[in-house]
Amino acid sequence: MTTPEVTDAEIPKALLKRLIKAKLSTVAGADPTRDYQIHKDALLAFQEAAKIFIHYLTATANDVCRDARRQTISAEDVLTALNDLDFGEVTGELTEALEDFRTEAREKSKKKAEGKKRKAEGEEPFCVHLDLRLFGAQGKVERSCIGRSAVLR
Amino acid sequence: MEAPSSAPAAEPQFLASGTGTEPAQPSATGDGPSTSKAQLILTLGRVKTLIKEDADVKFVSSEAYFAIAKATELLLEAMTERAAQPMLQSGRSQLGYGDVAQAVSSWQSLDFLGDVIPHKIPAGVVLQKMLAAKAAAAVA
Repeated sequence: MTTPEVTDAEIPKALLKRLIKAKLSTVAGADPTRDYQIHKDALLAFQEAAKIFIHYLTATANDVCRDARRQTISAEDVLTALNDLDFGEVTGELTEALEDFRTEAREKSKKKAEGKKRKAEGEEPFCVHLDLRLFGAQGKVERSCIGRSAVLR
Repeated sequence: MEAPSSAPAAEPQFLASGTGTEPAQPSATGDGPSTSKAQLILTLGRVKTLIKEDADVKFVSSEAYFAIAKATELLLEAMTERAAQPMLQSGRSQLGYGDVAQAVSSWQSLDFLGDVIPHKIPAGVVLQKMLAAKAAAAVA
C-alpha cells in the first residue's frame, strides 16, 4: 500500500462548481431553467472526494500496471482499475472519450508533421542564404533554416 | 541590413509554424471542439500534480493522465446525480452537505469516502447519546 500523501494541491472550486451545476440542470426531475446552488460545505466535500478518488484510482491503476510487469501506466490500466473498484458504469463513457482523445492526438501530430514537411520542401538548395529576419521573423528564428544555410556556405 | 537579392518572395509558410497563418483544418471525424468528448472541465495540469504525488508511480502515459481526469469528472457527475435526489425530493434548490453524505452512504462503491464525508450528527444528539450512555453505565 502506498504511503499517505500530505498535499496542498486541490481541484479548483470554480471548475468543480461549473461541472456540478451543469450536471444538476440535466438530472432527471430537475428544472433545466433553474439556477441550482451548491452549499460551500457540499463543494468542499466534492473537492475532497475528487482528490481522494484520483489518488485511489492512480494507486489501483499503478498496481494493475505493476502486475503486468510494465513501467508505464496506460489508459487500459485505468479502465481495468475502474472495473476493479466497482466503477464499471463509467468505463463506457470513458472509452468513448478516449477514442476522441486519440483521434485528436493523431490529427495534432499529423498537422505537426505536415508543418515540418512544408518547411523542409520550402527550402531551395541553391538559393541565396536568406536571413529570415528580413522577412519579419519574430522571436525564434528557425534553427533548421540557419543550419542548412550554414552548410550552403 | 541589405535587401535580399534574387530571393523568391518568401512564403509565410516558412514562418507559418506557430504563427497561426495556416487555415484551420476541419476535423476528419466531423467532431468539432464543441462536440468532442475529449474536452475536460477539470484542469489536466492539476490532476497530473495530484497523480504524481504518489511516490510509487513512475511513468504515466498521456492517455492515462487524460483517462484519470475524465474518470474523475464522470465520478463527480455520478455523485451529483445521486446527491440531487434528496434535494429535489425535498423541493430544495441548494445542494447541501447532507445530500452528498447521503449519496456516499447509499452507494457502496463510495465506501472509500465513508470516513471523509460522514453524515453530520447534530451536537445536541451527540450530547444526548453521551448522557444516555453515562446513565446506563452508572446503573450497571
